[in-house]
Amino acid sequence: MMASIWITVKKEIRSILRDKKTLITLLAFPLLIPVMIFLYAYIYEGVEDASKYLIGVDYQPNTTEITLMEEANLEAKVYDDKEVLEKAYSKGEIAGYITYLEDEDKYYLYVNEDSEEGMYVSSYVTTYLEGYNEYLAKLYLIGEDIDVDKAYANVEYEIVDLDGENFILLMMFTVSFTYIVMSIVLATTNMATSATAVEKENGTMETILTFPIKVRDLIVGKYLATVIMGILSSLIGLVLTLGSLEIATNSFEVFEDINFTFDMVSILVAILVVVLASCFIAGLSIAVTSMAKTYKEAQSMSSTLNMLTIIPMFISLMGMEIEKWYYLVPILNYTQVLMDIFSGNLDLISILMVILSSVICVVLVITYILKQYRTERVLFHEG
Amino acid sequence: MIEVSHVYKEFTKKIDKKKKIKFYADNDITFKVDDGMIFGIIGPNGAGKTTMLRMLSGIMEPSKGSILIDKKSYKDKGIEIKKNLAFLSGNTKLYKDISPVELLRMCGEYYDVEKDVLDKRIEVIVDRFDMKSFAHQKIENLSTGQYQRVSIARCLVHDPKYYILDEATSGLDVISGKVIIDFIKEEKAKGKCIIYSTHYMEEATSICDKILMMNKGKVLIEGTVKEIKKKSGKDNLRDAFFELTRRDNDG
Repeated sequence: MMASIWITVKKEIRSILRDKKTLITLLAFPLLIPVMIFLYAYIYEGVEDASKYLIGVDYQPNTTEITLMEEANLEAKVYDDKEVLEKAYSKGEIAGYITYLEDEDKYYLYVNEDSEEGMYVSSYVTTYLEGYNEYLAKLYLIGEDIDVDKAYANVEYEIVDLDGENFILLMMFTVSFTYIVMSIVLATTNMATSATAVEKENGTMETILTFPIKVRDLIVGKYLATVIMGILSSLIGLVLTLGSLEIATNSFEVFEDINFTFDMVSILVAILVVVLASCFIAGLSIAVTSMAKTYKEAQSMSSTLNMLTIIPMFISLMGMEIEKWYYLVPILNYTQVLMDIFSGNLDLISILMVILSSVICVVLVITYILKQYRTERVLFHEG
Repeated sequence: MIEVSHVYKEFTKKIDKKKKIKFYADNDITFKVDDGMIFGIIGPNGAGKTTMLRMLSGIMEPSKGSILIDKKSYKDKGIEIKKNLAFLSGNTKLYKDISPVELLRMCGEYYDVEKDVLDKRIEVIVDRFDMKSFAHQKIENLSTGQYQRVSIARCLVHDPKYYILDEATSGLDVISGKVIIDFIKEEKAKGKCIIYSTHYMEEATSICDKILMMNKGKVLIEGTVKEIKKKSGKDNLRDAFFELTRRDNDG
């Protein structure tokens, strides 16, 4: 019995490893995790470094204005008139422009406030003009021999940064750990499709059924091969995620304050979680793809599983509060518990709930598959 | 010996979204095949041949009736029967991403053939079917003839006592077809029992000891070629087949 299961496992894994396209997909997907983490880090650091916006003006700013503009992350370029400014803006040379009408003694800011860039420029120009207004007011007060400090320094304040939810970290964690669970789904649905629907489509299922192997052993072999692919893919994803987060926290300022727990206990618990996730998702993949006659059908049926993995990401990013029962819902709970583990919120009860629900679901799904494969309709789609 | 006794196979067919009908793909089929015999099964598409052969090979269960192979039934001794049986049909395809030698090794492992015996047997099979030139190429790159030779080769790897061959020479050129016919004759000479389904009447006439003609899931006639010709009043199997099918269709 064990021998025929093992032969089936070897056959299935060899088949998937020889399919270059599938193999590249399976390996490329976890590789997206570090790419995404470093891209985020680069963008967020970039926002701080490269936040100076070039704006056009139709007047010659004085030294005070130039200083105020620099303080407000703006750089001014002088153009002859509004017409030239419009052309420069339409060519994308400047992020917006200011015109000064002497008759009205009024500044006009032209900017697309619906765009992210326009929003920033609008805010920065406001800061610059308010600063300039304050400067002129102080000059006036000095001219009138009024104590400027008494007029302007009546209220003192300081912003104290409190510890709390770090949105960048939350986004990093959510997306990375969602990717790990997604990589399990991708690996297992690919393997399961090859082991079930493709076998039927290619006619090899009928060949193997003539061999002296019990249908139960055959399906257990296919299931184990699918589990192995899920574990492999998730471990690659886990290593890449943890490695990338560790490097990112040490290399990028934007990650300095994040609370990233990276120790042996966390790693071991995470491995347990991805193994359990692979066992359950593999079973689910086999159950779903077994109903398909062709590769295309199987891919379309299994796309629902991929959709499920995105749900925890939305829940987390929307800031919804997680109730305890959530840890009992397989697929959704894996992403959440992985995030908990590596953000220092390792909770024994949550872990036990995940283990319990996974074990029950694995038993149920295996029982279902074994029952399903006893019917000729699943094997031949006839009758 | 293979004994098929009053075998029925019922399927359910979906007519539309709500309506389903039950029908018999095989309806009260009875025959017996002795060792050392080539037993032909002939019939048009939809006659129930493939379903019958699938039941004989143990991948489908009869709805009613019994199939005994060496006095054993699939219900009790399924694995034991399958170890002595090889089934080849148009529906039993080969894994394309491996080489013929890898396929033979995998099949041998499934049939629990000892490694030393398997190695020697693969060598003999590769030589017998002139497979040396493509033994290590991927199966997906083989020609139709080469592919069919590998299909036959994989049936030999466990040295079975029973062969169930469904349209084994279908779509092959004369040379590849002859390789298979010669193989069938050789196995018969060794005392093996072969059930052979074909569309080629001349082929059936020349190699089958007994023939079962089927139509719409029922047995039209069973006997030697001579007996069938006599009963149908025709002088060749093709005409006999048309005559008997016509009589059956006329009711």
